Amino acid sequence: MEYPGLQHARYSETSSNHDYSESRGSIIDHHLSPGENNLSHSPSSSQHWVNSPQSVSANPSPLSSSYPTDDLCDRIMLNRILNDYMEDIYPMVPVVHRPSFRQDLSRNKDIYSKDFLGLVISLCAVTVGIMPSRFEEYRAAESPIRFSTRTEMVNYCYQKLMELRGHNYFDEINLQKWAASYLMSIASFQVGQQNRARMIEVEHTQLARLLDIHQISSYEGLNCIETQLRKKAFWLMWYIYV
Amino acid sequence: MQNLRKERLAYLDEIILSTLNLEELMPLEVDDEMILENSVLPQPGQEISLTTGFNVHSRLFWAALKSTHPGKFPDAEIKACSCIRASDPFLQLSHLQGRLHELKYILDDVPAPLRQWAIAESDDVSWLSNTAPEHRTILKSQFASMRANIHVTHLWLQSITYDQIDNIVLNKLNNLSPSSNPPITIPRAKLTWSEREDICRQLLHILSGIPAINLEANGHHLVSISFLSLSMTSIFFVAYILNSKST
Repeated sequence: MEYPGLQHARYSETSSNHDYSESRGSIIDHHLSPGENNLSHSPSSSQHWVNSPQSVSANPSPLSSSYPTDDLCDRIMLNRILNDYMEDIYPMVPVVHRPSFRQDLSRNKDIYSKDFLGLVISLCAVTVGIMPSRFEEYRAAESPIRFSTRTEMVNYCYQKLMELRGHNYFDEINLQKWAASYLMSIASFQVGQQNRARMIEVEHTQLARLLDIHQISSYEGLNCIETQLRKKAFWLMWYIYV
Repeated sequence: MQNLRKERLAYLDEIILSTLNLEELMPLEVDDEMILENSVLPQPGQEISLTTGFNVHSRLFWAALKSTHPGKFPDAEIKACSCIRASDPFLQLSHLQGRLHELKYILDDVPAPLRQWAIAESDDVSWLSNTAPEHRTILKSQFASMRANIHVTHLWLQSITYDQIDNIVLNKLNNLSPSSNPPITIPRAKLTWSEREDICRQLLHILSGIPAINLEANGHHLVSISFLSLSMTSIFFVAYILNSKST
């Protein structure tokens, strides 16, 4: 069933046209291809990443570098939170392809891709939203997280996510945008922001519909990674439907 | 089921739902590391992928709405969509009983690490034989989280299906005659009591057998349920004991 006007306002499924010097390509290459990243934007080349399914990083980059997530937390803490997402939450909420995500993160893709930055912020929000015990650990860390409550941090993540959006944010859609909204909806719900969660849910529901993740015929031409991710996204949406 | 108040926009509608091939939408049961851009490698050895757990959970939600094996579990959905069932409580009851039957047995064949009675600290780690020792702890923890997710969802779906059956029996069927409909068993509330009791017992077992950190990973629903169920189960058993003593 097509919604009125949908065919006329067909959304482009390509990478977002941001000010960043992001490499152009299909949605597949945009956020999942392991070889797609532009290394010239990496502030650090001294990182060492453990190539295990569970870990995000073992030796994060120096704090002296500047990252777009620095206002949220330092890079060591960011990697720790994302590592906790991989270990604790990913099995139930698998919205990333682990090797690709790990590689994108190691190459600091968030510096030049707003969509990847949005995904990272949302992953932090959902980890803190779901795991109160982890948040307490972040508070007790040697370099503690600056937020005093989970709600405060999730609210900040939401605000930051909204500020990333330009006027043409919805002109081009992809699974990463769906994931950012989906995660932020969960995070909001987990900290008691039900009204906001419900409104964001409408947004990611619409994105899922526009991406046709429920129609296997729409998967034609997608690579194996994107296909797997979209199928998982479909079932995550199905849970909500039931 | 969950969206009873109809205050939320639905992701799918009945027409789309009826045309979907859900089996085709099941993710491949391999870990991400096996999926490359243009090829998919087999899951190594006896390893069970995290996606297997994800799919088991997905099939629960599938079975809650419609049969995962239409030939094996025939029920009213084959004959009538939800619009027709909404106006015919007998058809709806038959449909719900079909869903309940499938849900009840759907986890019988799941891999050992995902079974309800799996022991977190089991010595049997054959399914982890190819996993590096430093990752075994993490994997076992991840499977514990998925186990909680799967089995609490399993019980929750059965519980709300019983709620719907009770609602039909109590509010819609009392004054109707089933003579013009296919013969079905109309349960009485007291007859579902033992099933509900069994759900409570299983829930208590799950919650007590899985570490808190793995319950927490499933969100505050489960944490709330764990507290609520413990207190409710206590109330239940107190009431049960008092009732036994008075009769």
